[in-house]
Formats: sequence, structure tokens, C-alpha cells
Amino acid sequence: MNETLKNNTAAAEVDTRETVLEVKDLVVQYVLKEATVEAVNDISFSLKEGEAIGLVGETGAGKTTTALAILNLVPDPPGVIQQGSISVCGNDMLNLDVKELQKIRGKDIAMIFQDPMTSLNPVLVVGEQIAESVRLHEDVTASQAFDRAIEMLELVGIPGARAHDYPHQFSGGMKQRVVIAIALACNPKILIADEPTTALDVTIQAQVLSMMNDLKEKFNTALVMITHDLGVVAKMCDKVAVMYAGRIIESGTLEDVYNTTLHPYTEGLFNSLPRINNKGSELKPIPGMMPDPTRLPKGCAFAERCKYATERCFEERPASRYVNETHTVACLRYDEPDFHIEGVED
Amino acid sequence: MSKKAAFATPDGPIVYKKRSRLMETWNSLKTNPGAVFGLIVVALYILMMLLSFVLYTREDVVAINGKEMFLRPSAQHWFGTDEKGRDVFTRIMYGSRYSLAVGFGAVGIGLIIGVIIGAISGYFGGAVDILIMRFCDVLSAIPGTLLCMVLVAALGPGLINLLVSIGVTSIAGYIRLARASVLATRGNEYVEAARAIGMSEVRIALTQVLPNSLSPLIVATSGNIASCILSAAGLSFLGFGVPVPLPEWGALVSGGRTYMLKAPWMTTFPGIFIMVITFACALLGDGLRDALDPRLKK
Amino acid sequence: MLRYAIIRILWLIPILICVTFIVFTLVDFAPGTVVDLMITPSMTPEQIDELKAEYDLDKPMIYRYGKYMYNLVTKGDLGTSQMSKEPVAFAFFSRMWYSVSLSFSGLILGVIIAIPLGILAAKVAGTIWDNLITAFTLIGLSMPGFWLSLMLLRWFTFKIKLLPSGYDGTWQCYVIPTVAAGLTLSSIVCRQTRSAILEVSKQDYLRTARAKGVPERQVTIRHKLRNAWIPIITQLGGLVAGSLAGNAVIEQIFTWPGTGRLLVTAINQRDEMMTCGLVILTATMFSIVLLIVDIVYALVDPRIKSAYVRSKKRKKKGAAAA
Repeated sequence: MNETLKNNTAAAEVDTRETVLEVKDLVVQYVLKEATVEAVNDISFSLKEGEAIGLVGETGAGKTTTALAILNLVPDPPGVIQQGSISVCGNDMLNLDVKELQKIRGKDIAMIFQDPMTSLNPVLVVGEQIAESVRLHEDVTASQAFDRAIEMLELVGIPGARAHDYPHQFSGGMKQRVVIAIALACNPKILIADEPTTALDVTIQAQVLSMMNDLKEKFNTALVMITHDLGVVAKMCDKVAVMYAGRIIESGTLEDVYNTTLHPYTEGLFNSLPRINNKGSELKPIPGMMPDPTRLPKGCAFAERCKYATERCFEERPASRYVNETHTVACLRYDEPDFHIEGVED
Repeated sequence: MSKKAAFATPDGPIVYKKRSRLMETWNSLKTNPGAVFGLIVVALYILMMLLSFVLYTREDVVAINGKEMFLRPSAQHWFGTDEKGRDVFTRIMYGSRYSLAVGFGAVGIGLIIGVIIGAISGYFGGAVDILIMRFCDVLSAIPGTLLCMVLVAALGPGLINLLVSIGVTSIAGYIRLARASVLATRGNEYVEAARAIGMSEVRIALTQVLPNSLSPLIVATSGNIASCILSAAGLSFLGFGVPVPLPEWGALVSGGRTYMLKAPWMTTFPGIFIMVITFACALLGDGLRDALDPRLKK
Repeated sequence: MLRYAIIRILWLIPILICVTFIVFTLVDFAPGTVVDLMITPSMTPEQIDELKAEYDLDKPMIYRYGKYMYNLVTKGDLGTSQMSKEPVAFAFFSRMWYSVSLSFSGLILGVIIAIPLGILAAKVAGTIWDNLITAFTLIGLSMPGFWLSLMLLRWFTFKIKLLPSGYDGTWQCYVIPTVAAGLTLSSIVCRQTRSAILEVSKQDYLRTARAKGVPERQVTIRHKLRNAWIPIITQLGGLVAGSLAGNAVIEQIFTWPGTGRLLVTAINQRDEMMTCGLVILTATMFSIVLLIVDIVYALVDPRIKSAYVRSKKRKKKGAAAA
């Protein structure tokens, strides 16, 4: 882990890279008859080429909705992007017409979906599903596109001959590789990976992750890694944004967030991980549950579960503040000059 | 569309409230205008049938009145009179018992026999299962309409025979459905869990498997009532159903055929009555399907 | 694939034998015999017995069944009508065309209306238009075919004298029966199309396709319809098979020279040989059509197709190892 950290800080120093993705003040809601689900509440982040950001949080924190919003693919109805702007390689994703969007999706930005079992069309051979993307975005013939699909399959470690097979003939891990091959088929500048390894066995997980890492470096792709696995983030990402109830409550470089954790929720996340070095230590789960996204409290959404919460935390919603150039945290207690969390145990 | 109790965002499901399944089904039906309409119509038909028992005797609907032949619909004879001077409205009201009896009776027979055999087949498996399934193959190799006609011919005319024939014809479908449903439920983890805490097989079958296999059966049943009413009308139209002077609706349409130009009301009105009850049952079936089959909820 | 087809065809044989037994038993069980209609008051009891013996009615049913099956298996003979003395097989095949042409015209009409309407309904699901289409299909399902036929006859034949009232060999005579037969059928297909598309619309792979930048039209054609038409053709096959026998009522109204009306007549005349033979032949046709549908189904759905191919491979490997 130390080595990755060093690399990251080195990268941060010489920063002449172009910003490829910029999300600003994004608010997404699902408007239903009975209630409104506040899925994403005012989040902002940006990503430079070749950079990787991890979006971390529990199920229901709004990670997948954020990802879909970036592609402007939030299911509508009931999903509504209420405000904000998203810029992908300079294109304003929320104000482009459908044709332009289709040119960008798959070409400039691609997404790897969570469940490889259901993400592939069962009646098309996998080669065809990869080639489809190439054909749409590049000026090639059908057979050239298929050759490219075979190449892509080999790149993700599947024999090219299997391009003529149907999805059900592959195992879960292989399917996930196919999904990755589809996403990478046109060398996108940005890759969004939504829990790409959650559905896989641990050994396969490691294989898929290291493969993604290699590919990312090879093509200099910017990566948005959505996960609830802090280990995956440490392995893959330069930056982290921790999400809770649709907000980013802490963000920064890996070092910022992992070594100088500030937010009580982030602390809770680290403390609920089992530790191999200290088997004697007890797991400290965060008590309680995420608030109902149809009825978010008016104060800090985490206050109810937070051991540091004061009365003010229930009344006022904390704004994000910069602690240093890269590190932000949204917690009211930092108004008090000498406040600090107990810290992550080792 | 049905009202949903839960909604799945891409980030995970949102659950509002938990209600009992029966209540949830009822609430879903209540808010579905089609289902409510269907329910009201079915209730009206049942009311009509009950009234006909009180108001008319068999004599009233078969007695010939030579003075009032082919009268147009009027205040006195709402739906006119037929070739023997009988009031069409009275005959239709009296005939409601046949359609309702066949609709519900045939489905009842098919359902009860089918579910018992299908459940046995699915629950025990093995040779019994193979035998039952082959029996179903044979039964469903004969097209339904044909089987029905041959059965009615074999049993002879009459309401009960008609009802049995239509019921028997639908058995193979119910067996398959019940079997599939039981098989799907039996494999569930909560059944394993029940076994793990030492529940007896019979109790598991009754308390775990059966209630959870019912939904697809209820959905199929409600849809089937409509088609049974239609088959019965069709068979009676062909002369295979309830014997002639009795006013089964299909037979009424058939009887009016000859006088279609002279007295179109004789065919028009019974047909409308068949259509409306079938339509209501189909609507109710759709409503139940929406309420019970969570897969179809949007 | 071939192996699968052959197994399925072989499997039909015992099923159809059981069908013959059931049908024969049922027909035999029916009250009254063909002889009842031939008896005249002037006949002596001896003459009646003679007549009965001529049709083997003095022997047990199992004897008649055995004889029937013997003739069927050895000579392919389904017997002759006890009323018209016409060979049953000839009667069936000479009239089959009329029934098949009627069911196909109904089917084509149904499909032309139903599939686009079903796609439309799925597209506008949840709106007033969807409700209207659903209501329309429900009315189609609830309308008795015979009643619709009579209503159409009344208007288009008797009132404005536009169309013939029964079969006369012209194309016009197909119009009303086709509409009557096609309405129910199209309602069923329309509902199936709608629900199949809605089911497919929820699948994750559509999201994958959209994320690739596939235009919405292509998503519908390549991804949605390709998956949705599998259940649709299955149902269509069942409907075709069913309509081979299911139009008896309509045939009766339009004095259609098809097998359905022939069967109704045979049943009414207690013509056992004819009834039995017609049901057996129709059941055979029905099973063959269903079998073809199953095979087509396996061909268009790669999941099913490869299940057979793979099991074959595995068996081959197993054999090689042994």
C-alpha cells in the first residue's frame, strides 16, 4: 500500500493533465407517487486523464445513481436530474441532444456494470456485443469490428475463438471480463466501474482487478471506481470520495483519507473492517442504519449514528470544507478548533 | 398500473411499509379501476342469478306464448320476445345460473383435481411424477376444443356434464402449473430452514410450500373463468351443452340465429351478456395478476 | 439438434397411441350408437341384432378397439364413416385445407394487427393509450366468436349485402370468418407481445447497450425484440396448432367445408368411426405443429440450443472415455 501512496503523491505534484470529467452540484431524485427518493444530493468531483477516483459507501448511498447520471442514463421516469452539471471531455452531458450523447457513450466514456450475469444480452454472441460498440463509434466494416472484438477478448484474457459463444456459456468471472471488454472496446477516456468485482469469487476478484489496473495504465484511462471495498480503492485509486446518503462527506487523495481520516463516518468504515494484524481487536460496526432516502433528516444525515454528534448536528446541514488543497470533509464539529476523532485503530 | 409497496432504485430497493399479503393484494385490487369494475360486474351477475331464483320458475322461461311472438324491445319486454313469445330478458336472467355455474364450477373442478395431482407430482417426484406428467402429455395432445366436444358427447347433454367436460379439459394445465409452482417453492431456502428446525414434511407442505405456490394458480384461475364461460357458450351454441328449452346464453344466441333479420334482439342481447361477464372476469384476472405477481409490477 | 428432434418424434408415438385409446373409449362410452339412427319401427329384433353385429356392437369394446388399431397399424386404415361410407382419412385430408386456410388467414390478420399494437402498448405502458389497447384486447378476448360472426353477418351480409353468408370459394367469403377467428387470436398475441417486451425492458443488458451508445431504435430492434420474440413465437405456435381444431363453431356458422364442421356433424350423427378418426388425425397434426414450434424455439434461443449441443458433446466425451 505504501508504494501506491508514493506513486500517487508523485503524480499529484506534476499535474499538467487535462481534466476529463467534472461533476458539479449534482442532484438526482426519483420522483414517485408516494414519495421522493433523494438519491444524490449536491455532489461535486473532478477527474484528470489517467487518474482514478474511488466512490465509497454503503448500499443505497447513491453511488450507482451518480454513475448513471454521468452517462445521462438515469432511468426516467422516475429519475430526475434536478440540478448540477456534468462535463465529459468538455461536453455538457445534461444539455446534449440524444444523438450527441450516443456518440459520447461508449466512445469517450464507458461503464462496467455491477452484475455480469444480467448485463449481457443472452441471445447475441459476446463478440457481437463487443463489436457493436466498435461499429457504432468507429468507421470500420462489420468484420473489422469483429476482429477488434476478438482482440479485446484476448486482451482481457479470454481466447478469441470464444467470441462466437453466447453469454450463458461463460462463467461469472469470464462474463465480467466480457463486460470489461465491451467497455474498453473503443478506448474510452473515462471508465466507470460499478462494483465490478462484487459478484465474483475472491480469487477471480484479484485477477479482474489487476487486469483492470494494467489496462488502465496501458490506455491512460481515467477511472471512476464504485465500490464498498476500501481495499479495492487502495489498490486501484489515487483519490477517494466517501459517500453517505447521497452526499460526499469526505474526499481527498488516498493518503488524505486513509492516513488522516477526518469524518466520523469514514472512521467508522475503517473500524468495521476486520484486521488481520490484530486479531484480538473487536470489530466496531457503525450502529444503526442509513436514513430513509425519502425522509432525510434536516441536519447531518449521519448524526443519528455518530458518536460525536452534538445538538447542532441534528439542526444544521454541514457544508464541505477544505482542510488542505486536496482534502475535504463535511462535518460541523470541525468548527471547533480542537476537535479530532479518536482515530482509526491499527 | 398497480400501486407498488417497494421501488428499486439502481442503488438498492426502497421499502415503504410491510403489510400482510392478503391486505396488500386487496389494496392493490382496490386501487385498480379495472379490477374494481370487474368485481362490481361479477357481483351484479351473481345478484342477477340470485334474483332469478326468487323471481322465475322453470315454467316461466320455457312456457310458450303464441300471442306475443317476436315483439320488439319495449317497456314491457325490455329485450323483446322470441319465436315462442317468451320474454328474452327473463330468459337471459334465468340463464345466468348456467354461465356462472360453468365458469366457476369448471374452474373449481380443474383447480381442485389439478392442484392435488400436480402437488403430489411436484412434491414426491420419482415414478409418480413421471407417470402423471406422461398422462398430462397425452391429455394435452388432444386440442382442448376437441377433447371438450368428445367429452360432452360421451357424457351426454346437461349442465353437470358440460361443467365436468370443461373442467377435465383444463386439468392438464393446472397439474403442470401446480407442479412447477411446488417445485420452484420446494427448492427455496426457507423450506430448507423449516426442515432444519425440525418441521414435519406434512407441516412443511401445508404451511410453507402450499401458501407460497398459490399465486400463479390464483392468477391462472381468474383468467380461466372467462375462457370457461366462453367455451361453455360455444359448446351450447353447437348444441352440445344444456339441452334446448333451457336458456343457456350460447344456446340463446344459437336459437336466435334463424330469426336474425326478423328479431335481431334475440341474438344481440345474450351475446352482450356473455361478453360483459367474460370481460369482467378477464379484468379481474388481470387485476389479480398485477396484485399477486410481483415480477410483473413495473 | 437432430437427435433432439428424433427423440421428440419417437416420443410422439406412445402418446398418440394413448390418445387413440382415450378417444376410442370416450366415443364408445357415448350414449347411443350409430345403429340407433338406422333403426326403423318396421325392423324385427333379428334385423336389429344383425345390424348391430355388422358394426361389432355385440362384442366388447376392447375387441372393437383391437380391430381398429390392427387396421390402423397394419393398413393405415382409419375406417370408413358409418353414415356416409366415406373413408375417414380421405374425408379429413380433403377438408383439411379449408380449415387450415381459415386458421392461417385468421393468424395472419391477428399477427399483422397484434404485434405492432403490442409493441406500441409496451412503449406507452402506463399511459391512457396503453390502457385503451389493453381494454381493446380484453374486449377481443371476451367477445364470443360465434356472436361476432352473427353480428358481422347481420350487417355485412343481410343489411348491405356486401359479403357472402357462407363458403362459396371466393376470397370475399373469407372476410367475416377471418375477422371472427382473428380477433381473439390477435388479442392474445397482443397481450403476450406487450408483456414480453415489458419483461425484456427491465433487463440490465439494455442499460449495457445504452451505455455503449446504441441508438434507442437499435436497442429496441436488436436487444429488446430479439429477446422478446422468443415467448411470442412459442405462443403463436400454440395458437396455430389450436386453431387447426378450434374453429369448429365458426365453420358451423359459415357452413365451411372444414374438418371442424365435419366433426360436429359426426358427433351429432353418433358416427363413431368418423369422430374417432377425426380426433386422432387432428391430435396428430396438433402434436406435430407443437413439435415444430419446440424445435424452432430451440433454434432461436441459444440457451436451449446449446443445452442440447452440449449434452451431446458431453455424452460423446463420456463414450470416448469408456
